[in-house]
Amino acid sequence: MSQTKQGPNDDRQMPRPPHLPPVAIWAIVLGMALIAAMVVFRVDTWGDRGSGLSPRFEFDVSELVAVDPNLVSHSETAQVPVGMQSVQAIAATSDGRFLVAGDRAVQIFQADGTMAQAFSVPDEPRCLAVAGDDHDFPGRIYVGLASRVEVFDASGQPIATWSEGLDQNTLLTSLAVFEDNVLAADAGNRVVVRWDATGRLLGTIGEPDAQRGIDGFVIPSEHFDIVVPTDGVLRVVNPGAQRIEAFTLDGSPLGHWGEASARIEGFFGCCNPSHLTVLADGRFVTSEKGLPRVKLYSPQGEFESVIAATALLTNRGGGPEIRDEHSSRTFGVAADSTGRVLVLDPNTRQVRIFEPLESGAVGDAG
Amino acid sequence: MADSAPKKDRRGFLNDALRTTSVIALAGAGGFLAGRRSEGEPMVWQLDPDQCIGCGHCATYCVLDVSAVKCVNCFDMCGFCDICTGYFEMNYLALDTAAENQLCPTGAIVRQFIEEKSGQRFYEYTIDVPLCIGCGKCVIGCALMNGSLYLQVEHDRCLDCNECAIAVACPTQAFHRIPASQAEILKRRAEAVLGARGRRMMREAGDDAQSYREGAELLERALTQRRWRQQQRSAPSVSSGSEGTARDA
Repeated sequence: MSQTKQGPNDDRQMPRPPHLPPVAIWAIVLGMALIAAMVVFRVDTWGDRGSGLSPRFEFDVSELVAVDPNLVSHSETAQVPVGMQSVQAIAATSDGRFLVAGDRAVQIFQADGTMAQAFSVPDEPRCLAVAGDDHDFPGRIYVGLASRVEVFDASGQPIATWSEGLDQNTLLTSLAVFEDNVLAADAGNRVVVRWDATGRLLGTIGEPDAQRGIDGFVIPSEHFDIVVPTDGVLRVVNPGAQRIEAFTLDGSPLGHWGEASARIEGFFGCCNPSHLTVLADGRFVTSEKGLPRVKLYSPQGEFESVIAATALLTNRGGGPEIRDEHSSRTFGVAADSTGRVLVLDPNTRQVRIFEPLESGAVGDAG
Repeated sequence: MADSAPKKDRRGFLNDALRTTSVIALAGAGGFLAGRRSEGEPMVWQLDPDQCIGCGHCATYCVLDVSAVKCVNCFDMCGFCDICTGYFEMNYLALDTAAENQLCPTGAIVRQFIEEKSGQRFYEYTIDVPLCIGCGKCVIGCALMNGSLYLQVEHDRCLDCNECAIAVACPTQAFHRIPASQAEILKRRAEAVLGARGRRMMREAGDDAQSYREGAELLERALTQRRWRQQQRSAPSVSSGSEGTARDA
């Protein structure tokens, strides 16, 4: 085998040695090296940002957070900032307005998001309800503090303080009004307290009673929501059982729906949903904590769709934020008479408004 | 000249020696006592769980083979839930103790049935300390719900290095020097529930002196935490050696 020799002034192109691979192979090798480098930088647990632990030690919720866009039925159409440091509760009125409680105040907004009025409350509010037209006192505003209910007229003037049936263990987490009944969820005593429109105690609902088939409520954290739709049946979230239970207003159990599951159809973790509301057509809207998501269920409790996916509510692509001061707390929900779903975002301190998508449109899964 | 200098007799010499020795002894004793007074309480490293993000650095940056940082469970915050997000994998196959269902890679959480009540089964979750490596995976899982699991430096194991390797690596500067008598840093929520339980125990103790004492101890534990947090707020960048953070040290 003879080798070609080339002098210093020889312009002839030097032939490629036969043992070198063609350019295409070099390009492939270079490409693979680049891809490998990118992979290493992306998943490297030993680099400056890594802990040095294997992926087995990583907490991965990406599968749970992922939502099929075809399941999303609503889109976010507006955001209404609330001028408070801390927002706690939201309620909607039959005329399209909505109220937000937080700090030591209640703010009332028009349907378009402009603030109509505000009034102060004597302590930090925890829950809120507004009387409808079928109430003895239409427009009355009931504000739940930790262990009492403050009653205001429609203009925000204080009328009364209710505490009958409540005690030092009381922790009010939700209020509901149906006709002349005012109901309060007492997470501390694990019961629902019922008054008439004058504040007279009518009884409690949900105390364990084997004869009536009532197991009682399991409330691992301070989330215990109630709602009374137009059918007059009280719906109570039993968060520790991951279900919604139905009662007549005199306390007889009627059944329950909901199941524990990390899948989109179920309620995630140890205690969910954290919030519940009902649309004018009788469908239920639930809000979950932990992996925040707002979902829609039929009046019978069958999963229908996702209103707001986790990624949309948390605006994070990474893992969960666990610090109390930075974490997504719970998202309160309310529904107005036009079908809009109002989500109270404690992180951005906004009311985020979701409306049904046009038919055929695909939603934002985050 | 030498002859003109007065000669010191033995008695004078002994008097001078005694005076000098007394002055030295007094000065030494004074210095010793002054030193004792200025010597502060021993300080130890501890992790503020409200600043912890469960990054996993505690497991790998500690100079010990197995980290001195361990998980603890604040039972006052725990829901004793059947479906514990700190114990079970997110996509668990069954609610049992099979390894594939457990979130903890080292199997360091012990799940024990307590009771069935209101149609639900309740379990107690405790940490098998020698197995825990302080990776914080369960801390993240638990934080999705009640957040009762959190990391703390275990002082029996910690070497109390001048420059804690974890503290230097901690991305949120969650490590602090605290008085050894304080020992722990509670979550703010834990401080609130412990204080509330302490007050309730004292209120309901009646003639039960032990119950009253236990309540008072709980309340004092909570108040110690409150005082420490107030100090942190008022002096956020205290210099090294006192109550500063890792970066200060």
